[in-house]
Amino acid sequence: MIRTITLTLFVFILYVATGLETLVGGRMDISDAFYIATVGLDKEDDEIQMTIVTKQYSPKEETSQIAKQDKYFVSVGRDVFEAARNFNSFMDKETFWGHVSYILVSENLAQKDIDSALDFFVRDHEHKLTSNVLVIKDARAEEAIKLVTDSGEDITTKLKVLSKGVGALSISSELPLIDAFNKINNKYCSCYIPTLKIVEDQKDEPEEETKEASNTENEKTDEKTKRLVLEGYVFFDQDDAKLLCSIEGGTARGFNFIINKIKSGVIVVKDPDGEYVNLEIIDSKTEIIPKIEDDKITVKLKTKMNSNISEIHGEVDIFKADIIEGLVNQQNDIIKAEMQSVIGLVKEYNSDLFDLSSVINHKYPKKWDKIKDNWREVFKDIKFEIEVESKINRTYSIKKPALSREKEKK
Amino acid sequence: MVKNKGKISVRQALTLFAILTITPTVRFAASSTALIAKQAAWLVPTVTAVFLFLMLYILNILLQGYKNKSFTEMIYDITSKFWGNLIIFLYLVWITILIAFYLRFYSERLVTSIYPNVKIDIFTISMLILIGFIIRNGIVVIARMGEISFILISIVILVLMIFMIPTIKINNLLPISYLDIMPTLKASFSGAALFYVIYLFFFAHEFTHQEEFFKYGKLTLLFIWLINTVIILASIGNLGHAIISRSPLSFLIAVKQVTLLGVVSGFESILVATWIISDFIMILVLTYSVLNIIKSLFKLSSYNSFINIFLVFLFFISWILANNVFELQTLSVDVVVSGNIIMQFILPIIIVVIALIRKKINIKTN
Amino acid sequence: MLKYIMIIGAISIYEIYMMVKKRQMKDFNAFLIFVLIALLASYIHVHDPFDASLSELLLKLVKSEYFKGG
Repeated sequence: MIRTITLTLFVFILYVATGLETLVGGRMDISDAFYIATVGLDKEDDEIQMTIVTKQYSPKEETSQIAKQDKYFVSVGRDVFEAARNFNSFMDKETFWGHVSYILVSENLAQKDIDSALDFFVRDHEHKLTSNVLVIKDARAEEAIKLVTDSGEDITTKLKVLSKGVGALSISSELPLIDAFNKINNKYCSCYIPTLKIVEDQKDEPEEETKEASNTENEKTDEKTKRLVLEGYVFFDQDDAKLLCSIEGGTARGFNFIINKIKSGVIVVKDPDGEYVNLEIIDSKTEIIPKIEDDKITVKLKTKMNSNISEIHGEVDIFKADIIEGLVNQQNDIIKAEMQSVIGLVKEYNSDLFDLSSVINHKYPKKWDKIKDNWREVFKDIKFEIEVESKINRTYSIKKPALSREKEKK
Repeated sequence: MVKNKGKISVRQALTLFAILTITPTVRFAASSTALIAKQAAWLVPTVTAVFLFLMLYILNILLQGYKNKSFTEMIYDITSKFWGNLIIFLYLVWITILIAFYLRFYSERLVTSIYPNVKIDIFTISMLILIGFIIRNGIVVIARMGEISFILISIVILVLMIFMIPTIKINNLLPISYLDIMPTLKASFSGAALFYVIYLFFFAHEFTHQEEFFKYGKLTLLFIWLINTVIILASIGNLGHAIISRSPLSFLIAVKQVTLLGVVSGFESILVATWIISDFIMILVLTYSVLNIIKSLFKLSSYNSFINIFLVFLFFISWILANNVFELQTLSVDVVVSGNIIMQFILPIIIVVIALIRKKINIKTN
Repeated sequence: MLKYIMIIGAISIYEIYMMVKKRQMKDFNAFLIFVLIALLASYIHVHDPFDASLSELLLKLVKSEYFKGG
């Protein structure tokens, strides 16, 4: 009995002594929070501008249109943390950062400060480390967010779709925050981050008479002709994390060939008549094989790749050994050229773009221990060789081209 | 049965020991070993296990020589009264610092990982109050809590590990060459500092089935080796040694990036909860050891009156210990590791050697 | 400081009462030492007379790298 009284008394004193304050802060009602899904970072003079896109989770979400009303807010601060905190000064709900899926950094900011831009997201306890990082090329992050949000779409969903779709062409990829940070931390290799760009669609020129009339209308629809494209990479210097260069198109795919991030893709070759044959990349595997002889390092990039024929334009029956061989050779040359363009950049910037250091470390740990301190010097003299071994394995439902039958009749 | 009332079996005591290693392992093992041994850090527990095996063997000699006696009684018997008092006093000071250290770390961790804007007093005081309540019930209750926690903690770590397997990159764990021998040996010292088994000997007089010490010791060793290896493998395999060695909560950030089927995430909260349980058991057991030391040192009839005042003292010490978490982390690396090695390895070995020389015990009793 | 003295005082009174009740007065001297140590600790915690934490003292003793920054 005495024990119960003492305990009750103790709890009561504790309750009163705290001045009835909330002892443990940090909890938040679901309905009182803005869940940030995408963050955009821009450089604004000497300050950081942060744009956040929130997604509301409310019971109404599934039935009404509320789910579609993704809001975005803009705030400015001396650094990322201050900008993030400044949201609280005008937003009517608290911000929750645990659901951030994408971090978009404008090229302007990434130029010099990619490390400090990402630091807050890695350090802060609320963030997850699996959010994806993207650099917006030649545009502001806010612009990209505005473009998508104003058209009534959800940027986070859009980016998810783009990330999924990028495998079809293999000209970019996804990079989780923690991997980006790991690469920035690594002084032996350069960090790469996938890029997003705003592309203006080509429009047919309106005829002379209607040109003037449609001028005003055109201005209105101008925004809609722009769209977001996930393509290419930017690279950062291994020493100071400053922006080094960017790649897109074939070079970006060449890079994906080297780092084994090819999922699929299209290679266009020509049959003996000069007609197009489309090949679909099925898989690809590149081995980076370093060799050290007399302190000279040579690196062989050995790519094995398989493709299928997905479209034939001409009339020739291409399923003959020598024609197939010809196609394979063309395919090899295309891949080789794409990879070679990456090697060109590697040489130009004397930068380890595809983490060769790690490969050498794994194969020659003892040697690596000796050369790692002046890795960049050593890197200059490395010779690269590219070897592509590809196969065209099959085609799909139909074999011969549509017009080849008529030819046989003749 | 009546004879064993209020006593725990050696198996239960060793279960407590196993839990005692989990708190420091989760916090410290991956980052401290990754700092020195880099990608080879996952080999460190294997080397450390050799140290622990040796330690268990030596302690077994001691335990078999002095059945139903506490470590303080053994020390008094082996050394003189003066030296005995001095050694026991050293242990008293060291374990008190250690408890304060873990108490502060436990609160700091909560503030670092989940509640950044909360006064850490709240966590410290609530832990101390809970300990004050539980510890009065004696070692039997503590041991039973230990057994339940042990199962819980093992399951959580195992499940987290299973979730983490798909994202482990083998490249992060290689290469291993002869160049890694020295760093691995060096790093194993920090691992060896986690073996708090000797502190349990301060209540060795409350153990039953003491002849089974070595048998269960080996099983505990296996468990500790496994948990250590698994935690280091998962941390470094996922994030690479560079990030892990820089993180004060290395395993936590490794767990933080786990997503199940791309949808479910946030497993770190389960880890933090488990961590608190192991913290609780650790502070509880070490406090129990200290109370036993106080009882022997001051020849008390009971330590019950000293529980509250000691816990209040602990609260202040945990504050006096460090101004901020950076000091605490540096203290952990620069002082606690070497202090632990002296108090847990060197001193007990010296005591056993003296006992053997003075023929107080002999190896045959094993 | 006052609240700490009050807490320590309250605990002391309770424990001494229990000691008397259980006839364990021979522990009283040792208990007094602990009360004094706790008061001392609370004083150090509140007033910080050494202008340094225990960590700082210990780290200075082992000449830690912690003080070699900047």
